[in-house]
Amino acid sequence: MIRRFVRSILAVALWEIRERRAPLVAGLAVGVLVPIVGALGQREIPTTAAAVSMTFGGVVALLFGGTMITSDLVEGRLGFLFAQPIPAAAVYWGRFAGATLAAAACQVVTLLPSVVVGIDPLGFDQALARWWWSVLAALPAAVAVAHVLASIVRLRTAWTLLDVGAAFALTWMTTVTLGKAELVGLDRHAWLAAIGFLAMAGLIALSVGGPLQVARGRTERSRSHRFLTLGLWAVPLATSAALALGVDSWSRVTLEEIDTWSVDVPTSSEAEWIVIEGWQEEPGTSVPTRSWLAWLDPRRSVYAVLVARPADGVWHQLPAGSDEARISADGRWITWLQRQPSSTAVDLLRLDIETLGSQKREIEPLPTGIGWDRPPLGYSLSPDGSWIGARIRVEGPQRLAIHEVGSGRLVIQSAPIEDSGVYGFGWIDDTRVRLVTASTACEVFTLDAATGTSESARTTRVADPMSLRCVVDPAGERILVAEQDSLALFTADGQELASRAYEGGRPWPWFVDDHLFVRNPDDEAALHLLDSETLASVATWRSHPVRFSPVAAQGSAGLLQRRVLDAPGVSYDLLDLDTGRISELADTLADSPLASGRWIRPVPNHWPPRIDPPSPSSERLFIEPRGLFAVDLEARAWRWVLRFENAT
Amino acid sequence: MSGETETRAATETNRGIGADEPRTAIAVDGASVRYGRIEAVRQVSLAVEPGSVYALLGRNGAGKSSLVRCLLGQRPLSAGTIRLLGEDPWRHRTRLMERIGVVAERPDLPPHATARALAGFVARVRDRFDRTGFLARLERFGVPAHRPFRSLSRGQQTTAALALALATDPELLVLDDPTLGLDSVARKALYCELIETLAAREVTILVTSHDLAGIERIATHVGILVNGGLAVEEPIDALRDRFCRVSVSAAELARLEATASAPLCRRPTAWGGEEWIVDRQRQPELEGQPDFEGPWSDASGREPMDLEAIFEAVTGGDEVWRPARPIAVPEEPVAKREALR
Repeated sequence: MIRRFVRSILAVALWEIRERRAPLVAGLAVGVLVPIVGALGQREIPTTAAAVSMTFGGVVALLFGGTMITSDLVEGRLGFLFAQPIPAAAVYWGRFAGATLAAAACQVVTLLPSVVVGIDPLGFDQALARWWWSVLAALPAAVAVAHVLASIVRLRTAWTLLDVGAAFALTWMTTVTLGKAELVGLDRHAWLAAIGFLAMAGLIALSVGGPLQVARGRTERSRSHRFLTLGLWAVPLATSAALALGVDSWSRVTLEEIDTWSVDVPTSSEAEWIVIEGWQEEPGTSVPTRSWLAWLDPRRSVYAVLVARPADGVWHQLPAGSDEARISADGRWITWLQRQPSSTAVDLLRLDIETLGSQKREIEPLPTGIGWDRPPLGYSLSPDGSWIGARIRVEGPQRLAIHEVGSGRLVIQSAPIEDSGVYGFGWIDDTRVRLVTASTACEVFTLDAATGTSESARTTRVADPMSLRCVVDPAGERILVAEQDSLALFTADGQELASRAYEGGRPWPWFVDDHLFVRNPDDEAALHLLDSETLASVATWRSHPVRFSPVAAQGSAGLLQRRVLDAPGVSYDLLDLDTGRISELADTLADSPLASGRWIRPVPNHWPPRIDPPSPSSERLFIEPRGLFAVDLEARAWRWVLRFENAT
Repeated sequence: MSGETETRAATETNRGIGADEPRTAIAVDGASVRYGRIEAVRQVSLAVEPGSVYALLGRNGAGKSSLVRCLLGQRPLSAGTIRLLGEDPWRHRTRLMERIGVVAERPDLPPHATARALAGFVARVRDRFDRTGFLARLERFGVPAHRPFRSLSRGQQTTAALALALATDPELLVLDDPTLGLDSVARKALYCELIETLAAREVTILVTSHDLAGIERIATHVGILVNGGLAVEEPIDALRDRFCRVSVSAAELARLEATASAPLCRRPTAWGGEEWIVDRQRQPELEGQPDFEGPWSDASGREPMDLEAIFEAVTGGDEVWRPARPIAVPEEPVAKREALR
């Protein structure tokens, strides 16, 4: 059987080549003309020869592909081959091989005369040579595509409508799927892999459609077209559907799949909701090579925004393409930037999270009337969700603007603000938004949505702008200016409250509520507590040395978290401000969420209101996406208080 | 086993005919072919015995070509089964075509190819192909072997196709209206070649044609398709015996119309009576009528009918012969055929 198949393919292919010999002679004639015309016209012969060869090969391939089966089928001559003991598939593959080889021969012979007269077009230019070989390699695909197109056009049966419909459906599905893949953050490799799968599906379709058309349709036009249509579109549509399902599945992130996140907790005591922006891998970090196929893992960089009310224990995932989610201080509104596929434009959407709960899991985003051609440099939602303050850049320096959420109305916009470091940006009360920047001094810009007014102030200039660092207190009313060897405290309108010298290198200060901490890069084990009014030293604690940069502190529970990333494992230190004790928990809580390498967040004392507060006074609550847990600083133990359900 | 039998068995083995070879060369049972809502062939059953020449007749659009395409494995049946030389032509077309020669309705030889080149191609794909015989036959027919087929006349192309089919030493020849477009000389040459072939070796022939006079010379069996159904399937002699043309006088006419069933076709005569075409098998009651004895006898006006006249009567008459009673197309072909036999 195989012997007959091979024998038939060879016979049909040879016959096909024999039938196609006229273009071969024409190609040779064209090839002879190239050096002659090139020499007469003083043109660059190698480039011309290669271009003519590629063009001729490509055109001939399309011509051969378009006539290899369809002409005989339309003219009723295919019956001759089917009256011979030739397997039906051999009819297609024989003619395909013959047409492809004949087209390749045409491309080669067109180049041959130039080579014979001593011109080597392929050795002349490496890029040109790559193109020439690429066109040669693409000839089989060109033949197959031409056959398919010719069949669809020339057979002209009712199946043409299905072809057109399937082409539109495939284009639409693929566009939507790849757009969604882009939005959920599939990385470039995965995106390319998706394109690769589709291309592979296309090749399979071409490899299946033609043979199926001939094997099952044989000599009848309508039947032939039917099987071409089925064979051609089934695989790409199935692949596209599988990709769509895959991307849809990938976009539904489960908590266990998120490696890295940041948490936003509303500051109001009434708010119960939290927002988490999560990644499969921390952006920018190198991915450990789990296997040689690791690059194909499409979820390596999936990005998702999730919101939850821990008391309900239910997570809701915002739509694919959501970014920069903000939660209003009163805990009612969430806004986010909604990206669009293949576009820089973003819309601001919002969600009334009171409509969510444990019962209703489908979110219903609402328009805000606010959108930009490109994402803003940053934005902040007012405490009651009525306005947003946005740092925008429109053909020049950035500006600070307030928009009304709902109508989208521009309430007020600042004068251009010099591009410089931003040290503070947010709402200082229900109607005023403040931006603190620094170049040679700290500058404060304040917009008032209620009055529609704009104010600006600045601190005194510093001697060494390169070492300048501004720190704004949580209320946005005090600004600490740190230089190489000094600290100065100012009000928001530029009045100096206090100053002091600081020795030991450039200070690294930060506020935790009313506490002002300073660290010194030359002494990583020391942590200084200063008076936030007078800048006088209050206390100094020492712990084991930690690296300078990755220190963080949050929360109003009198708790300081220190996180070290560069250790083989991950180490956390907890500083209890009431007792001044620094606890290194990494060894004793090795299996706790603290040691899992993820960002965690201390929970304010009041929160969550429906959860009973921890009974031992030495316990502190933390939140991470899987739930709430309590750490007992005395017993050096931890326990889960609440495990969240994954509703996505 | 005698020497002659052994030789015969060896020959048959070489030709792929074994002890299990079916007794019918072509067996069609309940075959239907549908094109969407149109049923081109309806429940056709027929059997072609080895060595016979089966003429499959029918008017244009009766379903002949559809049935032939199914026989050649070029499309599957919508319902029913077909066995060619014991095998399903749709599933085992490749194997079967080694044993079958085909002449298509429209010449489908590659237009740019010459007969000589085509012989080379066929020799590569077939185990059995008499290239010398093919070229010799072409020469005998006066078909130039060095000219491309597109430059040959239609008759020459058909002749070349027949020569090609015969050169494959087929056990079964399927000729789909081979005389279409041929002049009378070419038609005669084609029939002569077929007759010679039949005389030289045992080959089964299935032929569709509109040249009824020509086909009548070689056909042993006739099947007539009417609107997709097989209306008649009989040996040609039985068919001739079954149908006859009678003259009915004006006086007999009224009485016969009152007592006997209607004829197949009728037409008025100049002297006030009618001429009837009668299916004797289906109207046995006429045989028993004393006053009708006369018309049955040759001396009283009975005229023997040729295949063309029978065909016209069966397929619905023409502008002269008015169909009085359409011939029944069997609803249940298998049972009907058995009943007829």
